[in-house]
Amino acid sequence: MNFKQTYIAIQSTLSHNRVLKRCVRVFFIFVTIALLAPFIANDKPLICKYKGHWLFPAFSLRHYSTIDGTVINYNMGKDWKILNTEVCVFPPCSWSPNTIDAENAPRKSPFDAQVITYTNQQTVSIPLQFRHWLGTTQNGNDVLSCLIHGTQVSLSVGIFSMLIAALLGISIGACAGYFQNHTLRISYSQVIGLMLALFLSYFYGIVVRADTLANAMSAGGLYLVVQVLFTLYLFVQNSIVLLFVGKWIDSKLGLSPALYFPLDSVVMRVIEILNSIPGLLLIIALSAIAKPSFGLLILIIGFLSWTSIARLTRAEYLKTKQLDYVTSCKAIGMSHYRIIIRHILPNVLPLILVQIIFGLAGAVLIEASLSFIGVGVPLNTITWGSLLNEARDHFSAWWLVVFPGLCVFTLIYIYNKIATEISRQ
Amino acid sequence: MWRYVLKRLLWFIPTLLAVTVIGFMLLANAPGDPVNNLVMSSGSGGSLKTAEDIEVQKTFWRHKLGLDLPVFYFSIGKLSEPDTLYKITDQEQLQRIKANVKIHGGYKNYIPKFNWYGIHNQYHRWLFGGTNTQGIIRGDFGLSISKKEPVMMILKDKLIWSLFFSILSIILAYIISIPIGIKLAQQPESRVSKVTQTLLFLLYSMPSFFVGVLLLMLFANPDVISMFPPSGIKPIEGYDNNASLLSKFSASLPYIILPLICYTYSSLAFISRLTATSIGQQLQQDYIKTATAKGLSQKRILWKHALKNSALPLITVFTSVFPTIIGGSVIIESIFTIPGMGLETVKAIISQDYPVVIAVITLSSVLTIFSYVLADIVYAWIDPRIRPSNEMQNKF
Repeated sequence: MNFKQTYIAIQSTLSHNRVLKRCVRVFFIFVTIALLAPFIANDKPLICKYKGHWLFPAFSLRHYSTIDGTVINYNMGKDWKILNTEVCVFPPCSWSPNTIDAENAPRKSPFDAQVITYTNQQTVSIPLQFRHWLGTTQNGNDVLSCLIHGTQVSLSVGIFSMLIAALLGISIGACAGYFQNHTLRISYSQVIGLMLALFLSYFYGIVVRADTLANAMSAGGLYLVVQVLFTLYLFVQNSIVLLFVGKWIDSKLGLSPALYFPLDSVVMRVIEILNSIPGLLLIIALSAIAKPSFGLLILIIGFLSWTSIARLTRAEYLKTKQLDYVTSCKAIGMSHYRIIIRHILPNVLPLILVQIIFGLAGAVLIEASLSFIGVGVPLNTITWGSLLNEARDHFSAWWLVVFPGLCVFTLIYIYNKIATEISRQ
Repeated sequence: MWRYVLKRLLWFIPTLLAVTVIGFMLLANAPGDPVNNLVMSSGSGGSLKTAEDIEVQKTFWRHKLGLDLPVFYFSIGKLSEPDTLYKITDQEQLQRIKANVKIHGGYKNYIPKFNWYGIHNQYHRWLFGGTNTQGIIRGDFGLSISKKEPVMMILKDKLIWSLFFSILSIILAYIISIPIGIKLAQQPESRVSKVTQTLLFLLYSMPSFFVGVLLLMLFANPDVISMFPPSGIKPIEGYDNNASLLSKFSASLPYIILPLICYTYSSLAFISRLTATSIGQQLQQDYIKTATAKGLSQKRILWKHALKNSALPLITVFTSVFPTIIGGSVIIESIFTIPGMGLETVKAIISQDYPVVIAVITLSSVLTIFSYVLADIVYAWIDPRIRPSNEMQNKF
């Protein structure tokens, strides 16, 4: 089976299983909401005509525009609703998550009377278009728009962290399962090279770059991700280079590799260590050292959760390795890596996919839990979990419990359902 | 058998060491100066201290906490930096020196140097004990910065509550879900089992914080049903002085029920599903047919023969359930304000009390590893086929 056939197999599972089809459809609705969030929930109008000029505030990358010498600030929040425009088309939800509606401030329920004050100091009941359909929070943020924008966070944390985890897990697990302890040969000079690589990359990756890394830690965000990945890249690059140097020295001296590299044992040990560290606690502890950011969160979840994928991949490779087609691949002299990637991987990919989707559910759960206790995530972004957190002290605000909770539940349920349905095939 | 157990226990040691190294590295890299916090917060009786006094006190605490030692057995530094930098205790001075070295070091900044310090270092002292400390192998995790008590004293009570809930909930989950699993395996296609399966799957996908807040909102809310107390673990006035364990338990019962539901519900689906599939597999085997042919009752076949043979996956579950319960307890404990390890960690993070945080992480990692080892040994004890595979390789 090659990758194309695997793809076709997954496609046919999709078209034959009604439940699965429905779940995947709901997942794509979530993705669409996440991608289009700024145009679904925004306090800036999509199109408006003001003093004879057509403006497109929601689509504009600038935050102001000048009409007849007066500057119109696009981030005027609620004031858009009372601006004297000739034509004004708002998005379906006419609030941004960070817009504070002080008039409807301390937790207005969806059924409470909501008001708006126009420029002529007249306070009236809010028009249906501007209503907070799912109520407001303590500060007066619109719950519906927070939920819509929270979709972005939940989906992206899950998907990106699992991307890291899948890359790590599949490659490490495949190598461990295929090579095991008695296939990879390594020479003494390569062992020395590997140790030297560790030493050098620790020095150049961490000691020399200590200031940069410390700055990145306090800056957080994408910068931190890039810096950490660069350090990791140094480790990998140095190891590979020095392994080849060792091989070259061997060939010059006429030595043959004398040792077996116990890859499987090493990988299993590392997995055991990583599994034993409670992930949630580690993220909480790290958040005290580095500035909390979603980039850091994605990195940590990714680097902690590759273990389950690696274990499954390893087990599948162990099984598949003994099948006849792998033996015949070896017999015609194919390289190990070609067998691992082109021949075994397509056959075990659907099973690994199941594990990855279960991992997605886990990552969403971790992100939501952390936002719920308010540790380890940036506090200025409102997410599903942080909405629930607001309800902890005010049980009467049921809309702050039910709606975000249902969102988290639905997403996790869909992931779990998709995974179980695929694995049932 | 004993050889296998011994081998497994020996492998336990490097894993444990690795976990402690990770914990210690987190501790050593924690921001802020612990001694500074200690000295500044212990304003003794409002007497104004002179700068010299503070310096003397700082030096005293540094020595007492062993912070004047090198961090690890060795270090990899720049050639331009002296290897005795650790002796400089003042953080600001250290930063100034490092900045100076960086400016004037030239090419020597980019040449590595290996320094060996021997066993007189902070990690060794932290792990095995030394002056003024017993080391974590004897259960001494150092001083809590905010409370100035030994960390172990603080955590001892918390650990009991956390373990109480996790063990009770696991037992409860097994008691409830094994019969459900057996029923599901008996009639996999019946309507009842399909409905049960769907319900369990829905429960499995519910995030614990959602369930927790929902339960509190419904059952501990004066506006709806005020059946249970909203927070805490025992009556506010405390237990009676000489109350027996049972009466203590019954006094705490209303406080325990809601958290226990929260701890248990998610593993229900998992365990019952697993029981159902593994018993379902066993029921296809020939020995079940033999037992039926012999005229054994259905009940006896299921509970005695099939369940015993499908016990292995259930033990594996134990190892995967245990760590999630320790990690997940952070959420449930902070919802219900249970004075356990999780809540203590969150509090410690907020008050920047790193020794407590690291102690919790290290302790729970050790407990988890211990549960793995235990499961492996029980595994080998129940199913002898697993054992020889290790020894076989040595023989042949």
